[in-house]
This record gives sequence, structure tokens and C-alpha cells, in this order.
Amino acid sequence: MALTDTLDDLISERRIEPQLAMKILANFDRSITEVLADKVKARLTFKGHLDTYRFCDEVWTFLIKDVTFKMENSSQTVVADKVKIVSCNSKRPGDPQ
Amino acid sequence: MENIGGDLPTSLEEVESLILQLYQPGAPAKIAKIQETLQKLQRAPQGWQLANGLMEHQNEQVRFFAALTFIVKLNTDAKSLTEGNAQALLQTLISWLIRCMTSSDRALVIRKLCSTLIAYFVQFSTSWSDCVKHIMYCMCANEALPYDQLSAAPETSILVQSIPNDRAVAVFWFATTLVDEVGKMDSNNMKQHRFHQLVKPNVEDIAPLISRYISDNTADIKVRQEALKCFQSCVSYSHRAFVDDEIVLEPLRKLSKPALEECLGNDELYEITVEIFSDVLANYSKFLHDEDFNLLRQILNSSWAQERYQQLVMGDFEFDSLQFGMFMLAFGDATVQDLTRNSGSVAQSQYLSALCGLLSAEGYAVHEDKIYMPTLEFWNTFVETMVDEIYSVDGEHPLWFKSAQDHVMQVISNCWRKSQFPPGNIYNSWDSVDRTGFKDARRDFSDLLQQFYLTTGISLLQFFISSIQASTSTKDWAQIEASTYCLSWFSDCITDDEQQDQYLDQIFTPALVAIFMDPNKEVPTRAMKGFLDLVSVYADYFGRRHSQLPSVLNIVFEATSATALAKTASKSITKLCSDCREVLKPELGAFLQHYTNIASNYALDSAVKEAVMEGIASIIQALDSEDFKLAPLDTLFNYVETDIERCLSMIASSSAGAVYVVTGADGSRKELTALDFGILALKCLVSISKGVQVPDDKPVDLESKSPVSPFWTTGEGSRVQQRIYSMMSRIYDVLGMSGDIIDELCRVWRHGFREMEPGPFVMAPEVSSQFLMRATLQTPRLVRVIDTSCSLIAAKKWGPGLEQVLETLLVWLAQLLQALGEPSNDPEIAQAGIEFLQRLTSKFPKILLNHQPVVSLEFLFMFALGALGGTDPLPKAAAADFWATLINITDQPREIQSQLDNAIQAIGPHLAQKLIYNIGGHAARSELDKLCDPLRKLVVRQANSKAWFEAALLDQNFPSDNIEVKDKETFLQKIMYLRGARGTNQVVRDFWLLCRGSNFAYAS
Repeated sequence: MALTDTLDDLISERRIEPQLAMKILANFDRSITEVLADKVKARLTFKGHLDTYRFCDEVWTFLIKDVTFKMENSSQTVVADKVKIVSCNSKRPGDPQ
Repeated sequence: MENIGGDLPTSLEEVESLILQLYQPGAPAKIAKIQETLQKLQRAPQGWQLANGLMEHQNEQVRFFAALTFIVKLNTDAKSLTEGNAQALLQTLISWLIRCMTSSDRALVIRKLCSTLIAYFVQFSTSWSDCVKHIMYCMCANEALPYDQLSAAPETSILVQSIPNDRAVAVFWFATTLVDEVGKMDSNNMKQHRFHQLVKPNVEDIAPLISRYISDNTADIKVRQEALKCFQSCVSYSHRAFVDDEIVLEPLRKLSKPALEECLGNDELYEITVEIFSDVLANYSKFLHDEDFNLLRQILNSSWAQERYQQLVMGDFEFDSLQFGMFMLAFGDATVQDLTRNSGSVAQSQYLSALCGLLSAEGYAVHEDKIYMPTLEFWNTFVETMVDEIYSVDGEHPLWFKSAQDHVMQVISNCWRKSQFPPGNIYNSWDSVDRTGFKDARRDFSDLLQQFYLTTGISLLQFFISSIQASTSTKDWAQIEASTYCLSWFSDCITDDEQQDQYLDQIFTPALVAIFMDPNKEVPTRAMKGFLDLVSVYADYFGRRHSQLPSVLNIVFEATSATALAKTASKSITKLCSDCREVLKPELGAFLQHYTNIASNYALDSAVKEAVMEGIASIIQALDSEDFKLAPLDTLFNYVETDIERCLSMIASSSAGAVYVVTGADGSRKELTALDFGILALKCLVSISKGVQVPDDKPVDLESKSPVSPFWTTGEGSRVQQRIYSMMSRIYDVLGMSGDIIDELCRVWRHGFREMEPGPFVMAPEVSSQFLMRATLQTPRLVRVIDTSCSLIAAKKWGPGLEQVLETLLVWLAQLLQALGEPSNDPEIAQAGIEFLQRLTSKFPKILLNHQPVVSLEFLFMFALGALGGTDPLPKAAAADFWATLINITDQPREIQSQLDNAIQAIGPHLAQKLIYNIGGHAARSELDKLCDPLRKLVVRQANSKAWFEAALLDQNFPSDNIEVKDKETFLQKIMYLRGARGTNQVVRDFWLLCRGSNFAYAS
């Protein structure tokens, strides 16, 4: 959402055309997935109480309560009352399973 | 050249001169000017003729520009061409292509002409559907034949046989560009024009030509390379087409076999071939037939493959050798399920052994051995597959499980070796990327271990126990470190296992502990760090088995004196004291004595003092009676107070900037200021407050009726609370303008708020609020103070007495916000303030509504309205929450509810105006959902909301001119009709988009 807000601002200021914004958005999801997979090595672990889970239409959903996140190389923790994880297969149909 | 500044060039020669200047180095401004002039010419109606004229030029750059001009014209002006003109243009372009080939032009112009022809295809795809065959036909005839003569052309197979080598290259370039360019088109355009259906016959036409060159090992090698590149592009295109339209290009699939048989083993074709098949196996294995997989298996078993494999594991990590490793792994990935389920069969087992062998290639992981990480990734996938397979069937493990497990155990053994750190001088000579990469590789291995644990259970630890026992006797520190590192990752896994202590007994043996006690200090830092980490994660074990605890504590305390180990050792101390607090109660005196030894050592890392303080405090917490806790707590506070006194005396006795110099045991010099002492004292106080907290896992009796003990608040313990308050107060008085001091003070308060049981830091809310309310707008990190006071709202343990405290806090907050003025003056403070109001409203609406004087309450409402209408996103989101909460309150006693309803009636029109102003285009796209909350609540709860929204929509300040009154009416009807349902959010989004205009539709 932050990206679309920024692109909206750039369009409002006439610094870019909507077509370019469209191209950026089209590439963003793929690129960010690649970068996260290849370049980012930071890890975090979390613990909590699994409240609900389901697997529907190839999409896993987990609802976790009272979650504590622990960052690598840091003693700091972050807590959240509720976390929802929605995950789906990264491989496209036809790819090896 | 005078034309550049003003008029366009009038002759072809002038244009040619400009083009030549464009491609020469020159002043940027001049180049930009030339480019602008040339672009004008390209877009002009005469652009077609210009392109044709420039094509005649001898210079390659000019001809390149001519082809570019054709592309520009096709993209911008194709609609101006009649059908006849278009056919003539096609013939012109093809004839230029043939002329360029005849004159042996370099690839630059020929490739550009191929791109031009593709630009033509995109515009006129239906009238030039068999473009590949047409190009092939023209190349065979060596002339640009009209497209309508293609029906008279021989079969593709005949054309393929008669096409000369140099012309075949051009056809490959054309076909490659075709699939590359069409593949790049966005999917909407693709669907609209059904490009896949048009490209499909063309790929079928190029396949025989590719086949001819990849099968014929006597053909020119350069042409064969182009054939393979074309094959690669077609396969990649086929993959995209498959995803969108489920098209599988069968003729292409038939090329896999000859490519594997005839090209893979050819040194000059190996690189491109292995890249194609690695890519296909990794991303699109469905493309390959079963026979192709069989052929791949044969190839990977051949002597050719074995030779390459040997080269790789012997440490040849050159590009082509590494490519072979990636090829092997790609095949493993594509067949991972088969490899898992048949891991006991000879062929699969052999292949798995080979893949396991890749983990023991020569050289250090990452720095030298470049195949290690990708191979480890494969084995992670393999273990994941094992886990999936096992959990997808009920009952006992499948038959293949044992053999798969054996392979993974071998993998673990190899990875354990690879995870051993090299000697310090070698490791330190690596660059930071390799060092980080090596550590990442160890972490990846730990992922594999944790995943594999799911299939084996605690018996997996036995491997590392054996390793650590063997290396303990030889004092092989690198091995010991690798084993302790690996073992530390199982701490979360084994907690529920009944046998965990039996296994841990075998790890923390007297022999292992003894070598770390080492009086000669020959334990390397890294190995000691590994041991300290291991102690830390299994600290609870020492609470159950006490025999090693004294020795381990000695090691840990000894380690605090080493700078490189201080932080790790501190963590271990805290964990040991916390987890073994019951056992350590009799040792409390010894711990306090130890602190005496380090209390005045200011060269020591402050983390050590904090950790020891926290550890001692957790032992104090375990003492049986509250009375017993007073004396040791006093002793701890004495130490804290000493630092505070030092801080105060430095401030009192000297000018600003006085420092206290300390020299460490290693000769290092450290300068401490009064602020440093103040922060250290407060950090220690934070540590004590953390240590004396009742452990989380202690059962809470929800039905207990016994009254809360007044020991700490009004009893004997109250003097301890007064002492803590006094220490905090004294520091605040002199250093209250430091943000770090404020941060630490807030941490102390928060630890007290969090406690459910009475304790030395659990002070009455009047006391804590009095302290917090000393903050003014000038206080640094005021946000932290407001957030801390927010935590009080949620504390249930105080009962009705809390309400009065919150009333006072609200007055303080109102004064702060009034002093702030506008939310935009400090958005962070505004956000924290509004969040406080929101929390208060949700729990104690009465306190807000009874806030006096009335003018102050009005100010708070106006402040929240101002934030809603502002541009700062965080205060705006907080304000949206606040208003949604306020509007939604319905179950209050009559008097309060009536006050609330009156307030909403008065504010409603203003609130509606702010919401509509945002939704009418002022808000950012991401804020819309948040803004929908109060809007939906207003629709549901307030009968007058329709009139308020209507007025706001017709207000002269409405931010958009893009919509008509009827659009506003439709929007209003829709949101009222939806009665606050979720669909409102979509209606709001559509309306926002309408107000913003079509330029913003790109993301919808």
C-alpha cells in the first residue's frame, strides 16, 4: 500500500505517467519475492497460540494469538495480540511440486 | 547546425549528419537537443520516407537509426497505413533485411531490422500470421516476396532443408525476437489480441529449423548456437503461454531429445544447453517427456557426467563446472518426489549419494565451495518432501523412510564438517560477504536439522553427542564449536520429550565442562561462545540436574571478563539464574558477593552488570517470603544508588562535560560522563524490575478471592517502593532532558504495570501517574511517556481507584495537546495522544465525557477532527479509530449515553465533512479502509448521517471537480443502502477513484 500511495503522489505531482506506475506495480510482486528470497538473509522466529487454521483452495490460513516475534541478532522482541498468516504455493501450475 | 536550435533539418544529408553526431561523444545538452530534433523528425508524417531514405546510407549507425525510425512509426502511426501500404512496408522491410545480409552487415542492424519486423507483426498480426514461414521463404528465394505468394511456397520441411546457413541465423534472430517480444507484452493486451494463438503456428514453423541444426553435428557451430538460443527463447515463451492459455507446444518438446543427445556433450554448445535444461528442470519440468527424464538419467550416469562431477568435487568451481552442479541439482529438484519415495532403489540411491557428495566438495563453504549452498537448499527440499510424505499417510513410516533417513544422516555429517569454522587467520582474511555467507550457510543447515527432527525425534541428537564426545577428548575446538552450535538449535524441539535429560546428560558431561574450565585459557573465543550459547538455551536443564551447575556458573562468570564474550556470558547468567532460581536460593549471598567484586569495575561491559543484577533479582523473586526479599533488594539498590550518587556528584561538582576515566584489564581507556552513570543506574533498575517479575508460566488462580497483600504498597515493603521512586525521581530531576533517561524510566514503569502480583515495582497508579505527569511538551521522547501512561488504562488489577487516576491523566494529556496546538505540529505526539483517547474511550467512556472544563473536551474533539482532516497518516489512522470507537458506544448508563448522543449530534456534521473530504480524493489510497470504519459506524448508528453526508458531498470545499452531482447522489445511496456492510469499503474505493480521475485507475 505504501508503494501505491507513493505512486499516486508522483502521478499527482505529474512526475510520472500512470502507465509507468502500472509497470512498476506489475513488476513489484515478482521482484520483491525474488529479492526477499535471494538477498535478504535476516530471520525472525515467533511463538504464539495457534487459534485457527484452514487449507482452502490451495491457500493456507493461520490465525495465531499472543504472538512474540524474536529478531535475529537482537534481544528485542515484538508482541502482537493477533497475527494472520495467509500463504499459497509459490510455484505456478505446471511447475514441479 | 543552425537548424538544431530552431527549424528542423531540410535535407537527408543534414539528418545523417545529426545522427552521426548523436552517436559521437559530446556535451549532454547538445546531444539532448539533437535527440529532440531527431525524435520530432521520426514522429513527423514524413517519418516513413525518412526511414527508407536513411536505409540507403553506407554508415551502419545511420541504418540502425533508420530501423529505429520504422519502429517509432509503427508504434505511433501504424493506423495511418492502408492495407496496401502495410503490405508494401512489409516487403520493404524484408528487402532491407536481405540487403543487409547480402552486404554482410554486422549483427547490430540486422537484429534491429528483426525487431522492426516484430513491431510490424504486433500491429498487423492477423494479416501476417505465418510470419516465420514467410521470412524463411524470402530467405530461401533471396528476395522479398509478397505475403500472398506464401500459399505457393513449398512445405516448411523443404524450406528448412534449402535455407543457407547465414540466412538461417537471421530467421533464428527473427523468431527469437518474436517470442521474446510477444512474451513481454502485458497479459491484458495478450488476451485481447489472442497473440498466443497467432504465435503458436510460427513456433511450430521454427521448430524444424531448430531441429535441423541441433541434430546435425556437422553444421556450422555458430548457427547451432543460434538455434539453441532460439530454442531457449521458445521454451521460455511456451512456459508463459502455458500459464496463461494452457498451450503446450508439442513440436518444441520433441527437440529436447536431440538437444540432449547432440549438444550437451559438445564443448562449444555445452554452456547454452546445460543452461536451457537446468532452467527447464527448475521451473518447467512438465515440458519434458518421461523419455527425456530417462535420457537425463542416462546422461547423468555417463562417464562424461562422472568426469565433470569429479572435477567439481575436487574443487573446480569455474563457471561451466558449477553449471554442471546446478544441472544435477535441478534434476534432483524436478524428481525430488521420485527420489524420496524410491530412495532405496539402486538408481535413485546412487543419485542421492552423488548429491550428498556435492556437500563434501573441496574448500570452505561459500568462500571457495560455491556448490555447497545450492546443494544444501536441495537437501532442505528433500527433507521437507520427506516430512510431507510421512505426515500425509497414517500409521507407520513408509518403507522408503529408512533409506531416505540414511542419506540425510550422511548429509548431516557432511554439513557438520562444512560448518566448522576455519582457523582465525583464514576466516579473518575473507571479505565480509563471504563471512556473512558462511554464517548463513550454518543457519541454513540448522533449518535442515530442525526440519529433519520432525522425522526422527530426539535420537537425532545422538550424532552430535558422539561428535562432541569424540572431539572433547582430542580438544578439536572447531569440531566442538560446530557440535555445540548444532545442538543449540534443538532446544525448542526437545522440551516435550521425556528423554531430554538423558540426552542432555550425555552432552553436559564432566569431561566437556572441564575443558571449558581451562585454567590455561587456551579455549578459543568462538568455541567458548558456542558453549555459552548452549548453556543459555538449555539453562532449565541445570535447574533439574544440579551437579554441573556450580562449574557452569564459574565458567560463565569467568567469561564476563573477556570483552568478546561479555554479552553472551551475560545472557547465560540471566538465563541460568532465572531458570534455576529455586536451586540457587541458598547461593544468593555468593551472588551478591560476586556483584560486589564487579560493582566498581566500570571498565566492564554494562551488559554484564545488568545481567547479573537481573539474575540476582530473579533469585530474590523465588524467596519464600516477601520479608526475606527486603534485605537482598536493599543490597542491590545500594549498588544502583552508588552510581546515582556518582552521577549527581559529577553534575554538582563540575562544569558540564566532566568525565570519569577508567582503564580496562586489557589497557583500553573508557570515559564516562554523568549521563552514562545515570543511564547505567537506570538500566540496572530496569534489570532488577525485570528479574523480580513473577515468571510467566506460574499458574494464575482466576477465582482467588484472597485480598491483594498490602506488603509492598503500605506495609513494610513500601519503603522499598519509596526508595525506587526516589532514585528515579532524583535522576529525572537532573537528567530529565535526556531522551535515553526518559526511555529507561518508562521501561521501569512498564515492568511494574505488566505484573499481575504485588511487588516492589508494582506501585499504586497515583504514584506512577504523578511521576509520568511531570512530563511537559518540552520533555524528550514524550511519545514514550504518553504510551506508558496508556498502558495504565489496560491494567485491570487496580480496581475502581484507577478511574480517578485516569481522570487526572486525561487533564494532563489535554493540557499537552493544547500546548501542541495543531496535530501537524508534532504528528507523533498527536498520534500518541489520540491513541490514549481511543483506549480511554473504549474502556471508560464516562471519563472522557465527564472531562472538565467543557471547553477542554471540545478541544479534544476538535483535535481529533483536525487529525482526521490533516495529511499526516498516523494521526489520521488513530483519529479514525477514535471516532469509530466513540460512535460505536451504545451500552452506557442512560445519563452517559445521552451525553454521548448529544455530543455526536453536535460533532456529526463536522465528522461527516472530514470523512467525505478524505474520501473525495484527499486521502491516500491506503487510508481508505481505515476511514471506512467511522463512516460505516455513522451509517449504522446515526439516523441523521444521510443528511450530514449529503451536506458534506455538496460542500463547496469538496476536493474534486471530476464528478457530477449525480455521482455523489449515487454514492450516498449506495453507502446508505449497504447499512455499514463490508461492501461499503469497495464503494468508497470506487468513489475515491472517480474523484481522483482515471490516472489513478492503474492499481485497481
